Amino acid sequence: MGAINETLRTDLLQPEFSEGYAESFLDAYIAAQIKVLREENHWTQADLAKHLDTTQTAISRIENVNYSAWNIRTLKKLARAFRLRLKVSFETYGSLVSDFTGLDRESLKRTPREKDPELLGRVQTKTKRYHRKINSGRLSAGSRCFRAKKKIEAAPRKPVRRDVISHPMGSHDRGTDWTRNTNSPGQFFLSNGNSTGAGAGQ
Amino acid sequence: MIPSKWHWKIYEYIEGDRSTLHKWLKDEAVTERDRGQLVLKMDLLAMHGTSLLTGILAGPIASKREPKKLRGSRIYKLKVKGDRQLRPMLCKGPVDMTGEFTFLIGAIETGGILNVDALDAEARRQEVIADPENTRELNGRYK
Repeated sequence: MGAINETLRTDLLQPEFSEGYAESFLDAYIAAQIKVLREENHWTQADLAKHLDTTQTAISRIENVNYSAWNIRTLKKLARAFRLRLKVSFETYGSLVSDFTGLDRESLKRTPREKDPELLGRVQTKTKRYHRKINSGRLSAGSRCFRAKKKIEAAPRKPVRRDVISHPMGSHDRGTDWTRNTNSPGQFFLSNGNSTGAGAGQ
Repeated sequence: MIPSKWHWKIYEYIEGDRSTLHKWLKDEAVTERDRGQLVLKMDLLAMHGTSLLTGILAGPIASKREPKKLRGSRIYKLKVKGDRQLRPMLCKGPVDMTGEFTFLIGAIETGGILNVDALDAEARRQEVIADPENTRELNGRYK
């Protein structure tokens, strides 16, 4: 059997042929991706219909490769349901070759916002770096972390409800007045206002 | 990884000395735009079979002419919604049911009615089963 790439390249040079081919590919691509994303969410067609406030029949119709009456509004609704963003862009015919040959179930999957490593990875890295610097006492005076820390320390504190409780870790320093910070659950304050991490009250 | 080969073989019934789709497209003067849509569907079929794409094949199609003669039909139609509603009829296999499709006859739907009966396609399918070597050939695109 021959290579797909070469055959397609030759075909797509013909104007009318390439238009029919590309438009039909778009319909098939959208339909297939909706189905894959729905299954990734472990939803039935009826489940997805509820998210879109429509009927199961309508979902069945848009998952069919022959459906071509798309509108941006419906696609935006679908994007919201899948916790993804919709991207619409004009592309070259040449890029259709790799789009076609790369089409498979894996290539259609997308990670929803709450699990997106592009978002979570950066947040986690920053937090980890910040805590590592604080713990090792390596915060230099000009660093962003240092400035942020100073800003937090300088900011007027919200009044803290002072419920006197026992030391969370059963500290040896039983004379200390420990209070729970109701503005930030899990944070404990010494009576002089110094805060500690959750349960790390030394 | 980008696949570079077709996964399914696409055969065509030989009508006279020519493949049936080639003859049909010429006889019906199918536009290039419609041909583009048809070829895309055939490419998707050759690449993915029916697993990834819902509704790429419709059927099995019953016979309108003699419904009793084609019970448990194995005939499907590939749907192309273009300037004209192309519906070439095909079957899975019929020699290797897990790796090939055979296009049997061209058809066009107008007002929900096909201009070819599924029985005509079934007759050709039986010919292919009896003598696959001489009644069908690989479509040139997928050789």
